[in-house]
Amino acid sequence: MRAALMLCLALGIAACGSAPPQSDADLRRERMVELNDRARAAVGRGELRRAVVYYREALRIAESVEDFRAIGLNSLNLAAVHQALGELEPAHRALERVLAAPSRFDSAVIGEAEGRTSYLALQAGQLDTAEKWLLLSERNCQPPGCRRDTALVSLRALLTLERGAAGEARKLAARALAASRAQGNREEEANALRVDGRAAAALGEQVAARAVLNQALNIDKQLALPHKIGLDLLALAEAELAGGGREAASDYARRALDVSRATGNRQQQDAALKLLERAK
Amino acid sequence: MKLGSEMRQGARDITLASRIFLAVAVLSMLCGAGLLAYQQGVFTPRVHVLFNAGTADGMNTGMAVKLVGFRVGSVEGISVDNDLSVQVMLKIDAKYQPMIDAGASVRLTREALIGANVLEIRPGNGDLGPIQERTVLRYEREPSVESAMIALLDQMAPIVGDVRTITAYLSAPEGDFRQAVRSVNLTAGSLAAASNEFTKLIATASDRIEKGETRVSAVLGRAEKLLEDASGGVTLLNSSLKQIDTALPGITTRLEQSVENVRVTSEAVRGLVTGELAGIVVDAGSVISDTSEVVRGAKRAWPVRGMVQPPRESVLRLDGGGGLTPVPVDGAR
Repeated sequence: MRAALMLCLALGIAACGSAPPQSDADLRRERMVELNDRARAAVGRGELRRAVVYYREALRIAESVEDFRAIGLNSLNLAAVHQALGELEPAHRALERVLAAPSRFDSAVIGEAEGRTSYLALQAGQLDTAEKWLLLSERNCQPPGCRRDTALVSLRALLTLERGAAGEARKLAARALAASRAQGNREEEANALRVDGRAAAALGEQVAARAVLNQALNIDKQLALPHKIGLDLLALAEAELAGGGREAASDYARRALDVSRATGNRQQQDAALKLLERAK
Repeated sequence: MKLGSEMRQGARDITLASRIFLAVAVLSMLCGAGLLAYQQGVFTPRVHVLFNAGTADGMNTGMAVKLVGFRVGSVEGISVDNDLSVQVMLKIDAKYQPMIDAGASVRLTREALIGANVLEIRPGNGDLGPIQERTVLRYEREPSVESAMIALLDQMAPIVGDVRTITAYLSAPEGDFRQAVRSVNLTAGSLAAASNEFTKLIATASDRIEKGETRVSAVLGRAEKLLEDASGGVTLLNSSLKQIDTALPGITTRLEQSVENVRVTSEAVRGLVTGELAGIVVDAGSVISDTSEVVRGAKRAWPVRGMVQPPRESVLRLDGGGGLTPVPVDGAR
């Protein structure tokens, strides 16, 4: 009797435990999600090259079945990782998939792609192009539905700073700082502080610049964001150099070089080497 | 009284119900066991065939017997005869009997690089008709990858030896080849010197011929001597070339041997790469894919699915510092 009950129980458990069968479409979808998840984990571990491979594979599967939602998602992710690696051309190519056929994608995806394109143009020193794409992205972002508004303000502050209007840039950075603190977004807080620090340095306010940039560095270190730590160190080196502190500037630039070498970011490496040269 | 009778009636009902439940459970168990036995092929008719092998290495009772990749039976028993030959009894599902002819052979092979050994039936030409009970089949052992690699190394060894010999022969300072080359160099040098001298003399002669015929004969005499020197040089060159000519057939033969060895080896390598290695790679890929399927299935099965975080899609949100902030897809707007 007991044996029979045990058998029934075992059969019941086995029946509950069996995995339901899946269709081919489910398998593909599951594979895409799995690749995306693995890539996210790789990004978290700082293995950006591995993340690129995963996102590319997810994108390939999405393209093979014309899953535009997944194409958009993985194109954005691929562009972001390439940008973090300092590879602007592949990042542009990834975004081109979305921007070349905007009618196929969600407006949120288009807005993200426009914002990312603007940032890439800014990094390449193409300020007018950056302005054009930033305007488009801003137009596509209507809070509260749009969650990238703070990032766009930071980006606007950065663009303004690059155009030489440091005072205006500080005002925009203050706006971004307030918004990020209100949202509890520590990453955007550090971004706003970094722009503010750079603008302060450009205005000759070295003490304020140093304090603000160190705050940004502390936050980025707490969040363990190598790309941002590199940016903070470069900004500190620049600020020190503007204030005549060649030795301190050289030290920051060397630290930035170490960080960028560890992450494989070529653009940051070049910037650090140039600063080291200037600090001699 | 009434209460007592109701209680007795209740107890009887419970007893009846429990007996019915027990009967149903036992019946279900029997059905399950019967179904399992049917699935396992207990009721399937079989044909027994035999083969003799030199060794039982790699074989065991119960191992699969396959035909064009399908499991068609298993090893029922392995025994050793007095003459130390190993007799293996296979049981084959009767439904496959018409597909296997008595001229078929059995081969011990491996399912994948790290897979289990299986016996594979290779069909014969069909002349002998289908197998019958206790038909004896031929047995052959498939060459393993290890033995193929050893054979490859055996083929490479003479090439390496030849190359070493040729290199030593060509580089030996006192060897025929180096001496011949040295002689050619010397001869070429003396020929060049003689030629220069001769050119100068002709120029001088033509210049002076007009100045006096008396000196012409002397000049021509020197020219004759120089021509003799040149002739000596040509003779030396001739002998050097003869030396090279003598040495060349040996070199050519060795080179031909090496080229032949390389050809044979590359055939073997090509065979290995297109045959066994390709199969191994495909099999290894299948193993990895199967393992991945099993793991995925296990992740989706209870109770593991409750313990493993399911994968979630995320987007790397635009960030004012070019950072990589993953947010779940729903929260990306």
